[in-house]
Order: sequence, then C-alpha cells, then structure tokens
Amino acid sequence: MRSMAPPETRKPYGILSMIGLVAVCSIDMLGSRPGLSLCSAQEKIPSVLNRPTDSDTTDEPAVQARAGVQDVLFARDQLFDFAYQSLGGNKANFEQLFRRRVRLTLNRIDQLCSMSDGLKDKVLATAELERQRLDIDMASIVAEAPSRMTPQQFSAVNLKLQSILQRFQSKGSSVTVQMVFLWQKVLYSQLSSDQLKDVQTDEQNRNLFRQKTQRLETILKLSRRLGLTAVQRKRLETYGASYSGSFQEFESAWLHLQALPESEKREWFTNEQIEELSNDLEQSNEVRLLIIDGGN
Amino acid sequence: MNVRCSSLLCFFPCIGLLFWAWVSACASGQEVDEPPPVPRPLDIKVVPAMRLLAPAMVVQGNEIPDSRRENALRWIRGLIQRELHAIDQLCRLSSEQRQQLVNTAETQWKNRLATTIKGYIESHNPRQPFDFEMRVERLIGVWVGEHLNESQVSIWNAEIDSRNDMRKRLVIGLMVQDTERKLGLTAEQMELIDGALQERWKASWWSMYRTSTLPETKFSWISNILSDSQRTMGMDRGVTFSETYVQGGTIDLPSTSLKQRFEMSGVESDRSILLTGDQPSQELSNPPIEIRMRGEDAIDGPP
Repeated sequence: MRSMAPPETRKPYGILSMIGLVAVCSIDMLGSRPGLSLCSAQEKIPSVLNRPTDSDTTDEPAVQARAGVQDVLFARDQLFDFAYQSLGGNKANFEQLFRRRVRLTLNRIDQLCSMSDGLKDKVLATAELERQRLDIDMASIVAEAPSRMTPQQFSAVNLKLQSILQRFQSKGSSVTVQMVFLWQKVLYSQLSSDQLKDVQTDEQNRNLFRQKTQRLETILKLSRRLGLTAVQRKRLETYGASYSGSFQEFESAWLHLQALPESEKREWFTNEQIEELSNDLEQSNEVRLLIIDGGN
Repeated sequence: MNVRCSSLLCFFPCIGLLFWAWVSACASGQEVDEPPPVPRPLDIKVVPAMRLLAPAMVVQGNEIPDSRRENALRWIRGLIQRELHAIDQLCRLSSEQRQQLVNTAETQWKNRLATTIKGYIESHNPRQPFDFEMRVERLIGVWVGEHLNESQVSIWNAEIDSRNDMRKRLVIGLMVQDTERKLGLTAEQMELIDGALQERWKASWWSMYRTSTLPETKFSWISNILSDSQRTMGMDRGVTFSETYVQGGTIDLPSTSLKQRFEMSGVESDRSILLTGDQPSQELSNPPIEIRMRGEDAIDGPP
C-alpha cells in the first residue's frame, strides 16, 4: 500500500540541494577566474598576528626585518611566567612557599633555642618587605623591556631577572648557616654565640643526613648497574662518605669509579664489573619526578 | 583561454548534478512507502569533530616501537647476567650448577617475564617506570631455590636481605627529608622520625618509590615528635609543593646484547637453546607470546 506524504511533512531537500549545488558551482567558476579566487580574498584580510600594534610604531619591526626572519615574538607579560617557572611555577605559589620557608626556619630555630614572639614578628615583617622588594625590582626590569620581544631580547631580559632571582633558588646544601636573605641576617644577629653554634651544628647534621640518603641512592644505582654484592656495597658506602661530593649523583660516582687506578679497581671489583664500568652511561628518555620547593 | 576551458569543464558535471538533484527533489515530493517520519527535535546528523593528536601519541597508540621492546629485553638480560655473576661470586657453584643455572635462565627468562616485557612496551604512561630489578630478583630467587643447595640458598638470601635493608634505609631517608621540607625539622627530630618510620616499614614502600612515588609519612605517626608550631603547620593542607616530571637522566640498568649467551665463569648456556637475537627480526617486533611450560608459573604479575 503506497501512501502520499502530506504536504506539510514534505521536506524541501530537493530544492535545497539545487540551491546548494548552484552556489557551489558559482563559487567554483568564480574561483577559476584570476583575481576572484577565495584564496586571494583571504590573503587580502590581514591576519590577527600581523595586525599593527602600538609597538610597531617604534623602530623594532624595522630592526627585525633587517635581521631576517623573526616570526616568534614574546609578550612582556610572558617574562613573569617564565621567571617564576623555577620558583614554584607561578607568582602566587612562590609567595606561599617563600612565607612558608621563613616560618619553617623560625619553627626549627625556636625548637633549638627558644625565640621571643617579638623577634619572630620582626623576622616575618622583614621577609615580607624583602618579597615586596623583589616584586618592585622585577617590575622595574620588565617595564624597561619592549612590549613585544624577539627571542634574543627576551633571553637578555630573562637573564637580568634570573640574576635577582638566583638567591631565591638556593637549596640550602651548604654546611654553614645561610645568610642569603635579609630576614636571615636579622634572625641570626639576634642569637647568642652559643645559640648560633647550636644552629650551625644542627645545620651540619641535617646536611649529613641528606647526603647519606643521596649516597645510598647512588650506591643502589651502582649496585643495580654493576651487580655488586653486600660486601662491595658496604665498602662503597664507607668510601663514598669520604668523597661525598662525587657520590651525591650516580653520574659523578660513575665517573669517579672509572677514574680509579686499575690496581684499585681490581681490588674492589670483579672482571665483569670492571668491563661494565668501562662503558659510558646511556641517556634515558624516561620520566622522573622532580619537586620544586623554592629552596630550603 | 585556460580560464574558459576550466569553466566549461566545471559546467558539464554541474549540469549532471543539477539533473540528479531535480530527480531527487521530485522523488522526495512524490509517493513514499513508509508512513510519515516522526518529527525529531533536531534532524541534524552529528559529525564528530576532527581531533588533532600529537604525532608521538599516534605512534604510541598504534604500533610499538621496536627500540622500546629491544631495550626492555636488553635491560632484563643485563640484570639477569649481573645476578648470575653475583651468585657465582658469592655461592661457590660447581660447574654443573653453573650449567644448570645458565640453561634455565636462557630457556625460561622470556616466558617468565613475559607480562613485565609486554606491560613495559605497551605502556602509554611514561610517568610510570617499570621495576625490572625486582622482577628479575624474584625470578633469580626461584632459580636459586631450584638449583642450589641449602647453604648456598641461605648465602643468597643474606645478599637479598642486605639489599632490602639498604632500600629500606633509602626510602625512609627520603621520607624523612620530605617531612623536613614540609615541617622544618631539626637534625634530632629527623633521627627520631627515621626511627619511627623504621618500625612502620612496609616492603611495598620500595615498589612505590621505584614507580616515582614517595610513600606518605602519616601525620599521626610523627605528631608526638613535633613541636606545637610544627604540628599546626603539618595540619595545613592548603600548601602544595610544585611537583613536576622531567624527562632524561642516565640509565642505571645494565644492558646485554640479545646475541650474547648467559654465562658464569666461562660456562655458557647450551648452544641448542635458541637466543632471542637469533630469531628473525619480524618476530622480534611482535609482542611476547605468553607460553607457559608444564609446572612453570609466570614470575611477574601485572605491571
């Protein structure tokens, strides 16, 4: 049984198809004519990236043009993002970590030699001023930079920023009490010589703990690579304590052992291990975790 | 002239298409077999949007790079060879035991570690490294139990215990450092926390560390060691440390050629055993086939 569809349910597919085809054909025919193609029309529309900005009124583009291809341009605001990458990722995170760092130091020193609340407040206020000073210094460097920079200009300005940020990146690996910041100077100036000595001893012991752990990690890596036995590992652990600098990292420990005199190597390792030790380390493309805490 | 030709060339197919469109227009307006279609809220055919993928991801998703598989095989063979040397060095084996061990290793290694190899080469998560060392160590333990006498086994077990002790010290040391960074501990407190964590040691912490995750030091375990201000700071959960994953570094795994036989003090595996490197290259690029011999279980669990 065939039925007719009611007129209101008929869809104008055919008519629409015809209109569409005519439009396509027209565009195609127009496109074959020189000067009327869609491509040429697009080329006449200026790209968003190529639009002139207020900075183009200066002589920068002319300099760029003379220098050659300078397609990649950096905005001034990117400088801040770039600078804070090594300091906790962004400005807010850095500020949080910096304040926390001061608090942690105060807590630790308070544990060693009791501090008055007045001194704590004074140190905290100094730290806050120091952080604000960093903001001002950074802003003044960035303000001098052009609004759009070539990679070279960007790199130069970033270098200036890094020079003032450098001290905020210190990891506290030295064996002496650090006096990098003004708040540290204020804090330590208020301690007696005995208290300062206690702090110094504590700092050294904390560093020894860290070094011992790093040394263990290095020796376990060496053991994995060379197939060391318990006696060999024990011997290396004792030896590594005397050459702590070399045994903090697997790579430097490997180089250190490679450089040992042949007689010493024969005394310490088997022939197979010596043969393995003669190889250079290969680079990995594996991923590992890195924690950025903005210093300690 | 060229413009005219191309216009004409476009024109004739267009006439055909217009005719077809006219026919279809008529057909749509004429009789239909089915009852009128039920109107739908939106009669639009949804076409999935085009997705752009990084080239590396496409490669990873569809095919396994040969180098990844070969690296896994070389590292595992390297680790087994180092272990065999260590056994030889410590346990004073007879030449018969050496021959048995290298033959067993040559025959079984690939099947026993098939899941580990497969898991590694098919892994799409570069943040999850594989602990080949522990898998190999467990496998070696099985072989040692099969082929060595009791006193030799106890010597080997003492060696494993020594390794585990060092691993424990390392992981706990790292956990203490992590706590120090978060709470600001004195050296004395660090030692006390080290002791508290030693008592709570779990072997799984080492596996966690080997997969780039440091086990968490529970606040309740150490709160009695902390001062009031440190406790207050420890309870502040709002602070996050910036953690990032970086690529690179050096490889701490030994690597052995796939064409090199396992050996112990000059005793090589039997020539009748086929090496992976002797197999045709096409077969090498295929994922490992999990074949279990009678009475032989896989040593490796899921990665």
